[in-house]
Amino acid sequence: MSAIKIENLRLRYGELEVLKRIDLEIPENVCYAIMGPSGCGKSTLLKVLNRLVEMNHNVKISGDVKLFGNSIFRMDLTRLRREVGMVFQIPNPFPHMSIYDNVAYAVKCNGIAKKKNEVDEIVEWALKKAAVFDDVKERLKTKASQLSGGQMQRLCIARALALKPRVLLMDEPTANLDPISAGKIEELIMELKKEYTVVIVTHSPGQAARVSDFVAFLYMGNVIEFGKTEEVFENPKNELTEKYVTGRIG
Amino acid sequence: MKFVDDEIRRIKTEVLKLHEVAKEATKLLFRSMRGDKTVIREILKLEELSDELEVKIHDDCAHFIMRFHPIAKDLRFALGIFRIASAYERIVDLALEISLYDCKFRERIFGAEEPLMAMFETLERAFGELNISAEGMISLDDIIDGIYIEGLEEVERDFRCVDEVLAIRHIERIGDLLCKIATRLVYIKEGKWIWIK
Repeated sequence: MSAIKIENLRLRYGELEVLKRIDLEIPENVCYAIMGPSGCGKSTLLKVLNRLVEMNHNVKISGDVKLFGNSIFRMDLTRLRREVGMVFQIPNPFPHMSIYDNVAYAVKCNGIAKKKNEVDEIVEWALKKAAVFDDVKERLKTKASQLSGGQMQRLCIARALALKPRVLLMDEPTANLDPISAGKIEELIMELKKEYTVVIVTHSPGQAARVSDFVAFLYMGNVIEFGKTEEVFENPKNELTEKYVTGRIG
Repeated sequence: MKFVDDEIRRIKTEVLKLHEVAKEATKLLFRSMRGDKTVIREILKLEELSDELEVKIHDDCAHFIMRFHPIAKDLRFALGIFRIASAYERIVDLALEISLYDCKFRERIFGAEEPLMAMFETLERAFGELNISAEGMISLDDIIDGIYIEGLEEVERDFRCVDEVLAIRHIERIGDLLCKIATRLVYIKEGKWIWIK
């Protein structure tokens, strides 16, 4: 069974059609990259997967998205958001909270654990999983705003992982980071995909090539091409894809 | 990045497998020249394996370039390994050709076995750290070249068969190819080209 199956998905903001008949299947425990130039609809597509897009006014969606066989549109929203974690382009920890509380808050709010020792355990586990524990273990009570950009982003990943999701959505997670921090996030993605299904949106073909197993190229709301990353990058079938991956459009 | 280093390690392991195949084929060719023709079947298998490994390494290098857009040392690695894989594959082809020659070889040619094996061993050590001094390889190759020149002179004085001439030439070529592999390793490590002859 696929982790995510997108069937005939269309999305409009008022009269503007942003996604046009999208059909994609995302296998379990892979990194699936959605790449394309700015404004092609890739972030919108990602936000459909946890129904965050519904927070916008005037959105009309047709078609279906199945998460492990169940339609996300008939799923309890809290359950969906727990199963599908999300990391955004700009690291967004709660700045007034401590590093510890940033993760613990999500755990407590979602009723994952209540006893302090259980929460402690999950916080440490999530920080380790997100490869940030060693950086912060001596200062768990300091404010998250004191971390570097890369550390903040890994803290946000830890916060998402603490809810034990099955799918992790990442919307240009390295766009605002320096190359070293970006490299650490990419390394982390390579580790995470062993246990989670990671869907990453990126405008960088290079990043898609490095970290993903499968890739879909979106252009003006259409999926132009999708397939195994090696195949799409080595021998794209569509001329537009070739122009994009070779940097001739973008 | 760790996953780039992991990929380099994986490709290096493949190249070392091909190295072993070429070394084994070279060992066997001397047995064949000494009259043990039963080894030809083994060399044939090694030749098929070397073809497969060469294709796989070329694919891996192409994917490495495509996925990671390597620069500097990583780029030199991918470019160097392309050529190294082809050189090893060619060595096994030559070993197979030599093993098929059927004549009584003069003793002098067997003197090339020891320096050739020493060259393989030097390369084996070099692959560990991608670190090699080309000079050592060049002196070993000079020994083989000496055997080649003297061997040809001997053949000129007392010609017996074409196969013998071809075998001497091919063995000298194997030495050259091993030297070339060494120069590629120097290129990967230091970024400089060494021209031999």
